[in-house]
Amino acid sequence: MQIFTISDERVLTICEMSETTTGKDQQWLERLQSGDQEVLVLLYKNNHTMIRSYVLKNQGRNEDAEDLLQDALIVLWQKVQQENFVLSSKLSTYIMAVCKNLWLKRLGKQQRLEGEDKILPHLHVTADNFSEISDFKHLQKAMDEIGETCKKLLMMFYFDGNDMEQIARKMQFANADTAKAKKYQCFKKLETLIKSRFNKSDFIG
Amino acid sequence: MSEMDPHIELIDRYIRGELSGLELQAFLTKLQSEPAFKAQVEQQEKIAALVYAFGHAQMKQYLRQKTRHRGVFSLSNKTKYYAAASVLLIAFSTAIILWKINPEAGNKMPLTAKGDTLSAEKKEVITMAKEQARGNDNGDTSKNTEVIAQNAENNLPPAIEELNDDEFTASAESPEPIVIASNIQAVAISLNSPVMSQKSMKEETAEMKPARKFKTEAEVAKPTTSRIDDNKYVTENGGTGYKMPETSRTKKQVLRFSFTFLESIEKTPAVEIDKYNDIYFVRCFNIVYGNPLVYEWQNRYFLHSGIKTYELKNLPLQNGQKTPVSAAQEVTDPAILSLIGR
Repeated sequence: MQIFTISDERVLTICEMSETTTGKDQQWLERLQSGDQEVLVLLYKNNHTMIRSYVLKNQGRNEDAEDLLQDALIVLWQKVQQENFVLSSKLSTYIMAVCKNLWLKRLGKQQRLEGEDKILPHLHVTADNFSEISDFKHLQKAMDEIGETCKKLLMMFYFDGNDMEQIARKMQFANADTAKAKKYQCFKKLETLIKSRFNKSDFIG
Repeated sequence: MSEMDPHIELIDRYIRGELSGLELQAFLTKLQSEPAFKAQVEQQEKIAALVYAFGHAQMKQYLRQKTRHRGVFSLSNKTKYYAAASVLLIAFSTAIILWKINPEAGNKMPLTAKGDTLSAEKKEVITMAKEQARGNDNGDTSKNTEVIAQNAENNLPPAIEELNDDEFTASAESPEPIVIASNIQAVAISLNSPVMSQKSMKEETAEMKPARKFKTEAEVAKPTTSRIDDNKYVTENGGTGYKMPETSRTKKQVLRFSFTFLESIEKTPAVEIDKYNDIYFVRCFNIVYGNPLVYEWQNRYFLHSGIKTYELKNLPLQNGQKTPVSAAQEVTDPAILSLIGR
């Protein structure tokens, strides 16, 4: 009877090395890359038990597990949108690893969207302190007013982290230059709206 | 394109962390030396941050809505089948109660017909459904992912218990295996119904002494009922029953299990168990995941996952206690496998 002891971290590393993506994972990745958010719900459902168990075991509660998994799936979403993203493990293993990183950061009272999980590394504003810097309703209204195409384009650029070529492909623009020009227009439109809606002290530096 | 501010693209690249080397150096120098440029960078950063935060908030909201919707953790088709079976159970148990309380009326009821149609398999399913229903009563969604099951003590005499209005139960009479846990559903499966012929069904129902709802002290004092002695009661319907002394009543132990399935480079199946807050956290290494269930039989614990069954040793544990990672021994004893229906 073989006895062995492995720390959680080592197990995770080994899993990442030894596991490979399954056909189903690949399908889900492709759906994520094409912008299908429903896959996130499926992944949430499939991984909830595992993440919940981990969080409960590590000083967390049910609510923490839900929140953590949602954040991890958002990170996955953003990562998948990047051209150079390569999944070298099972999706569930990847999600577990992201959850672990996020949870360890939270336990260490570190900000959630730091380091490699952050799409916009030079930004000092995160979703966590979003409500402190502006009124969500104002922004939502401004985002609605710039139109669906602009909203989608800006979110693809600033939130998903897509480059202009990807945006052009996904939004069926002629080429990256067209996407760039459109993005510029949308940005200016949003900037004008925001300047007119938000207090200067709150927003414009 | 000609009207585009050339700085916007550069600032975007900075925000996205795409500048490096000399390009980044030049950017930072410009940032420090040109206040107007610095203001523009800050402004663009904030707009980008707002869009980012907006996207994050929207996606989070989407996930919250979708995952908190009952549909995500709602009952599976299998469980729905169990739930449907629970209706049969309630109807059947009500028939038994009524029959025992008023045998004459019972004779007029198609009790035997129900017994005929209730196969052993269905009875098992019904038992599962009953326990499932109990697990879901409090509306705690965690029950869907964490298991609660009941481990009835063996070899206790049949007991009549005080029950809730919608509850029907009987004590365990034999050391038969009971499913304790799975991390999918709050299910307890009693497998003590090998073949349920009409005759054995009658015998069993006679032995089980159907549970009846006893009244509170205040209700007993009402004229419609009378308390005969410390343990004997007369119900409203004229039936009698015995309330077992507290010490001899069946005690039910609730065991909760939470599973994590991991793979390691060693391909040997192994488990590590620890217990915190009355929950057993079972980390399964190299065990195929597949609707895991834990069975208890004669104080031995078995984990069934996928198509294999393993014995979980050193259980039960005290809170804070932990078993080392040890190889999980696959159960091959056909007697045990047949008991858990594999």
